[in-house]
Amino acid sequence: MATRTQAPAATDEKLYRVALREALNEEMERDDSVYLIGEDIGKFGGAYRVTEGLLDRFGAQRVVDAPIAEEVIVGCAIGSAMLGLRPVVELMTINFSLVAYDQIVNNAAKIRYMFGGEAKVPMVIRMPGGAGHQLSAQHSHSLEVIYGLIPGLLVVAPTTPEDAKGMLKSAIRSDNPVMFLESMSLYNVRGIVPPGDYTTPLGKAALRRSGSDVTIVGVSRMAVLAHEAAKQLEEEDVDAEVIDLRSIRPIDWEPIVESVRKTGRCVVVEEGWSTYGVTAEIAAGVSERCFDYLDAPVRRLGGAQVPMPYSLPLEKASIPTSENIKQLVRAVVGK
Amino acid sequence: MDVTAEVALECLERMVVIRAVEEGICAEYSNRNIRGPVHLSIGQEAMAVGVLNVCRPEDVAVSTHRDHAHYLAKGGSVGAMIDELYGLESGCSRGYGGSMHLFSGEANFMGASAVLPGSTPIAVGLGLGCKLDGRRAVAVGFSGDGASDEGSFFEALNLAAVLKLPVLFVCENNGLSTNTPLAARQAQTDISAKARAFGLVAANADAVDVFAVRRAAAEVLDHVRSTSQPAVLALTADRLCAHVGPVSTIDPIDTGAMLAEAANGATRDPIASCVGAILRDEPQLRGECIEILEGVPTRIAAEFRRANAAFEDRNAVAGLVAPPPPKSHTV
Repeated sequence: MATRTQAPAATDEKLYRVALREALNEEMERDDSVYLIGEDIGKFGGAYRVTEGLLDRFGAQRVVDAPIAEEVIVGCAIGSAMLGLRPVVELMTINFSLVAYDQIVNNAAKIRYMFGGEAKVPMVIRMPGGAGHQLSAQHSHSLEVIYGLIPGLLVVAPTTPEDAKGMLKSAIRSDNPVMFLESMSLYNVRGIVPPGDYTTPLGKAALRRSGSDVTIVGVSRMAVLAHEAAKQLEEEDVDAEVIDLRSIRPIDWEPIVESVRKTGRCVVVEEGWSTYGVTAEIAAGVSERCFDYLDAPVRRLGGAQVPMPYSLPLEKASIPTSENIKQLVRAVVGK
Repeated sequence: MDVTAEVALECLERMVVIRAVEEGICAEYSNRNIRGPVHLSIGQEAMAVGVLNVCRPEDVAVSTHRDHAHYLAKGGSVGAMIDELYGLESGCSRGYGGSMHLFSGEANFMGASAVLPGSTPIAVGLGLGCKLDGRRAVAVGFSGDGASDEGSFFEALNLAAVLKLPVLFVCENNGLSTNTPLAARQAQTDISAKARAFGLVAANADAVDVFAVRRAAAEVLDHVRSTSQPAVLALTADRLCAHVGPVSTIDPIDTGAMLAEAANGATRDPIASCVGAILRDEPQLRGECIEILEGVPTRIAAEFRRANAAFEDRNAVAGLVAPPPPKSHTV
């Protein structure tokens, strides 16, 4: 998955999940107030093995195996954050976070504002989303938008191991609640992770590829697929620019607007449902900001508007592919 | 009475402060300078005061939509609370929170969450914070019996017990969730029995008697503090006011009437009950009691006048015009 032209030394490349683990390790080392809480994260090492080894290193007080009770896990994190701890919650999937939605929306997101800045909630909620593993209707959705619409939250979705580590470190150091959206399909992706202590700012999109014909904005794993699609479109003489949104809240409009003003065309892709989706928000914002520059309507691509089906061919048909992205781009550039 | 004269008068004074603030809200609300839902604590003053009187300043507390008494009993500033009700920048939450979201970092009152049982899970985290930062403080999570209709109330009891956290869950049972009685909502109405089923120590007290609350709270707090294990204290009293809105079902404090009611052993008014207990055991404190009953409401009324004037000034500077009065209040 690494996009560097020169083959890096093997030691420079790391798995996305390992990059996350390094961030947790280093931040827990750096700051005693950081602790982890979640289901099966200690002895078992986490459903996706992100927290493996951390219990042995930091002990049960800082790596807390919690009951299967998402609402109180998040509530507990909030209360402890108000007293100065920096909890990092792991929820097994974003689908399960709906059980804790009240705590996230009514408390985590609102406390700092509602108490006139007298209190703050420095916490991170990590959770994977996304489909592609035949996990069916209740374990496969992306749902970025339900957090993206809540003022008071920061919502990020890193797509590379480098960003996973750097953004998780920034999230842990942030004084605001951060929804840290991982993707099940990215845990085994390899990429270069810079050595040493570094952070990647929250709230910033990343330009993944420069191009002049069309801007593709991708959300979470769809940014990776958009990049693949753009590389393949080269052969068809379509020069696509790819922006990895990275931050769902706030949206980093500047690079998106600058790009669309240059290309005059825009395609937005997410794995979640595009109706009322993140792509809907981006499309509306681009239309407002770039109307005079647009040579074609902004187009959206999202997952099929159904609960995720189990059967492999049905599931494949429900998730956007790089082929789907290419088709839409061809339509937008008139090829 | 099993307390010193000093403590007895301190409890009485704090309850009268709470009552006087609530009565001030009732009196001022129709002027439309205080807005929004107000969930009063009239009749339930002894719950907050009895528990928080035996807490230490470093203990932290968190509350619900009915948070006035807890904020005041924990030591939150009276003036800053009244300013908050007027939506002023000098309010305890800078005017961003209002009645249901009072906060005081100074008093270790960690705010109030108004969606049940939102603050009960947060109390678990406060307990974890207390335990990990080694201040040997205790977290006190107030909730009503209505919160114990909700599932995560019990998730909170369980997690606090599993993690061995110093949390005192105070369940204030006024017998009503909004307007629906406890027996119509819960098959097992003994909240302590449910807490025991989760492995917690639990106690009950009649919260018309502030000294009974104080006694029971001291006992469970001792347990929480010395073992770092959570406990539940289930308190029972009547809500002598509407669920929401500036409506009291009893008369404002009047010294003569209060002294007469104090002699009624069956009173449901915790202030009358407290005065009665003091006069029975320490009749020489009659003068001090009268001073509190008369002096506190006068001081609180002055606070309302000050805040009201500040509100009018703020509006004048900001060019705000008050909305027209409604035909009637919705309660």
